Amino acid sequence: MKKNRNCFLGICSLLLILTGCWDVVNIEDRGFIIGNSIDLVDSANSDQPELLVTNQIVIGSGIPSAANEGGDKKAFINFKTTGKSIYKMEEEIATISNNTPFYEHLTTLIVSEKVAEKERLFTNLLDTYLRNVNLRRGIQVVIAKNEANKVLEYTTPDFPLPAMHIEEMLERGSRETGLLSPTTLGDIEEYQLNNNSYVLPYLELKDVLSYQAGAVFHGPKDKMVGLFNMDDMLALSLFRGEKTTKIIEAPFKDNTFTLQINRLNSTLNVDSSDISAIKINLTLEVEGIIKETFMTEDLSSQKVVESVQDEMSKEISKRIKETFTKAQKEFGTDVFRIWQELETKHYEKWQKIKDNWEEGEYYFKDAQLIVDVVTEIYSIGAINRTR
Amino acid sequence: MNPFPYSDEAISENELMFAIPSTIMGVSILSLPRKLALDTLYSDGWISLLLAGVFFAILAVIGTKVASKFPNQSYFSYASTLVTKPVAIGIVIIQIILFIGLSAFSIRSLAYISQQYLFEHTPMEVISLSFLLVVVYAVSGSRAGLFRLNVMFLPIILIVTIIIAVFNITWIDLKNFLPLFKTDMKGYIKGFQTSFEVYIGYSIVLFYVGLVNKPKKLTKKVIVGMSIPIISYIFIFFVTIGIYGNMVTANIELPSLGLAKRVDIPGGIFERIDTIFFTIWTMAIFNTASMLLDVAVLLITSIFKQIKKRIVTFILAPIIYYLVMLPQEIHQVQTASILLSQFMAYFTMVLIVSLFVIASIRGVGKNEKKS
Repeated sequence: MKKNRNCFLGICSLLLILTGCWDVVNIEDRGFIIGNSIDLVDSANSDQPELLVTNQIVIGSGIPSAANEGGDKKAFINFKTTGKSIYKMEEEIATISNNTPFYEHLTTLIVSEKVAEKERLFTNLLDTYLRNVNLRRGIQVVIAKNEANKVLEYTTPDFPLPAMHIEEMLERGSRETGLLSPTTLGDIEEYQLNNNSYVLPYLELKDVLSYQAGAVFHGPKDKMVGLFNMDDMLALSLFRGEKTTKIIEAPFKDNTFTLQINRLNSTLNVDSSDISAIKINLTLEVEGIIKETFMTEDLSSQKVVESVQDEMSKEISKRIKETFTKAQKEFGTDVFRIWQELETKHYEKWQKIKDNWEEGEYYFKDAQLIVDVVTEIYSIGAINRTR
Repeated sequence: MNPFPYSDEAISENELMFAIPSTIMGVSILSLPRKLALDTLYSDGWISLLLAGVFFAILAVIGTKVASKFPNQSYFSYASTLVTKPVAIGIVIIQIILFIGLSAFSIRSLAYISQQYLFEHTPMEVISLSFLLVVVYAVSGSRAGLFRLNVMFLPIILIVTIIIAVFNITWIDLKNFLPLFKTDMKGYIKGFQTSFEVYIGYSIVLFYVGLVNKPKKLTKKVIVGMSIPIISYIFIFFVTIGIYGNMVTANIELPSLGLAKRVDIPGGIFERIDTIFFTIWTMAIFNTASMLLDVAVLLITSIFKQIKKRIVTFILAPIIYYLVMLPQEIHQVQTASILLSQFMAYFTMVLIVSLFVIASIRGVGKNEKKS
C-alpha cells in the first residue's frame, strides 16, 4: 500500500517536468512558408547588394474545400523584407507576422533574373537555404524574368497558392511536353560544387505565367549567361535522352507534321584521342506516333512513312546541332554534360583538361558533334488522311 | 523501481549475435559517408569499408577464440591468467575509461544532433540528462534484459533503413558511381583508417563470450553479427553516393540523415520519414550507449567483486554526465571522439592479438579444458 502511494507521488511529480517543453509551437501559430522569392533592389554596392525577399505564408482558411467555400478570401499572404542577409530577413518576418515562420514545407524558390546575372551572388544566396537544417533539399529553384515577387502573386482559379501552382506547372511541363525536369536545390549544390554549367527553368509573367525558356548558367563564371528558347530546351532534353513524352514538328514537302515521341534512347560516345578536337558521337533512337499532319500523302505506304522518318531524323539532328552550337559558341557552356562522359570513361584525359574545359584553353569550344538519329514511326493514328 | 527478475541471467548465442551490430552501429552511421567520400574518389570508399570490416571481423573471431578457451570465466580472470594480475588490472582500467568515454560521446552526439534537428530551444543539458537517465535505467537492470532489447530493436532499425533506401531509389543516378577504382593507395589507406572508428564496438566479444550459455556455433554467430554492420554501412554508403555523388556527400554534414529528408513521395506522409528515421537512430544510439556503459560496469564489477552492479551504475552516471557536458564546441567533441576511437581501435587490436599469441604459446586454455 505504502509502495503504491510513493509510486503515485513519484508519477505526479513527473508531470511538473513534462510541462516544461522549450520547443512547443502550436500548429495554429505556425506560419507555413511555401514559396520564397529573391529580388535585387540596389546593386550599387556590388559586394553586398540590397535584396528583397518575399515569403509566401499559407492562410489555411482561404483554401477552398468542401466545407469551406473560400470565395473572396486570399489563401496566402506575401511578406516582404529587404536587407543583405537572407536568413536575417527571414527571421524578421516574426516581427511583422503573428505566426512563427516554419520552413519545412517550402517548395519553390524564385530568383529574379537580375540576381542570377550577378557574378557569385546566386551561389552565395543559396548558402542559407542549404545550411539551414529545416529546409529540404527538394526545393525547386526557378528563375523569373523581371520581378520575382510578382510571380508569387499569380493565381489561377483552381490553384489558390502561387507557389504550389508553379511546382505543379513545372512537373507537368516536363512530363508532358518534354521540357527539362525541374531542378532542385540539391541538384544545384551538386552543379556548383563541381563547377558545372546547368539550365534552370525560366518563367515569364505576361497575361499568364509561362514556362517556355531556360536560364543557362555558366559553371566557372558562376552566373547566368543567357537564355535557351523552347526549341533549345527540347533539343537539350532529346540530347540527354530524358524519358518523357516530347512533341516535335518537322517540315515535309512544304507541309508540317507533328510527331509525339514516346520512346527515346540516346547513346553518347566521346572520342578524346585528340584533346584539341574532341569528337562527340550522339546516337538517338526515336520512336513515335504521328499526331497531326497537313499533307495529303498516303501514309499507309511504306515508302512515304520511310521518307517521313528520314525527314524527322534530319530535323531532330539539325535542331540538336543548332542548340549545341548556341551553347558552345555563344555561351561557352557544356550544359550537355559531356564532361561527365569524359570524367567517367576517359578519366586520365579528363584530369588533364578539366581545368581548361569551359574556360582558359577552352577545349569544349573545339569539340565536334556528330549526330545520328534513327526515327521509327510505329503508328499513324486513327486515320490515313484528311481531305 | 524494482528490476524485473529474469529466470536466467545468461545470454544466448543469438543474443550475442544481435549485440555485436547493436553496439557497433551508432553515432558514426550518420557521418560515415561524408568521411569516406572525403578520403576516396567517386564510389571507391566501399573498398576501405569492406577491408576494414573484414579485418575487424577476423579480430572479433580471434577474440572469441581466446575467450572461449576459458568457458564461464570473466574477462578479468582469464586476462589475469594470461598476462598476470597487475598487468590485467592496468589493461582493464584503460578499457573502463575508454568505454565510459565512448558512451559519453554517444550521448553527447545524440544530444547535439537532436538539438540541431528537433529541439532548437531545449538546452543540451536537459536532452542529454534525460537520455542518460534512460540509459542508466537500462544498464542498472538485468543484463539479459538489455541483450533482449538489442534483439528487439535491431530488426526495426535495419528494416526502416532499408525502407528509406527503397524510397530513394528514384533519385539514384548510376553515373555518380563512375569511374571506378580511381583512388590511389594513400586514399584507400586513409579510408581504411577512417573506417576504424565505425567498427570499434566489436571488442565486446572479449567480455561477453564468457557469459554465453552453452556455446556451440559461436564463431559462426560472431561472423554473422559482424557482417550485419559491414553490409549496412556499404549499403548506406552506396545509396548516399548514388543520390548525391561524391562531391556533395563530402559536403553534407550528416548525409545519411539527408537521405531521409530527401524522400519525396506523393501523399505527404512519407515526406516526413525523417522523423521515423530519427526515432530509429535514437534507438540505435540507445543500444550503443547502454552496451558500452554495460561493458564498463561489467569490468568494474569483475575487479571489485563485492560491489553491486546497480551501485556501480549509479556511481558512473554523474561521471558520464560530467564527461558529456565537458566539451564546449562541436569540434572538441569530434576531436575527442576521433582520439578515443582511434586509440581504442589500435589498443584493442594489439590486445587481442597478444592475448591470442600468449594463449597459444602457453596453451593455458586447452590444458584447463583437458583436466
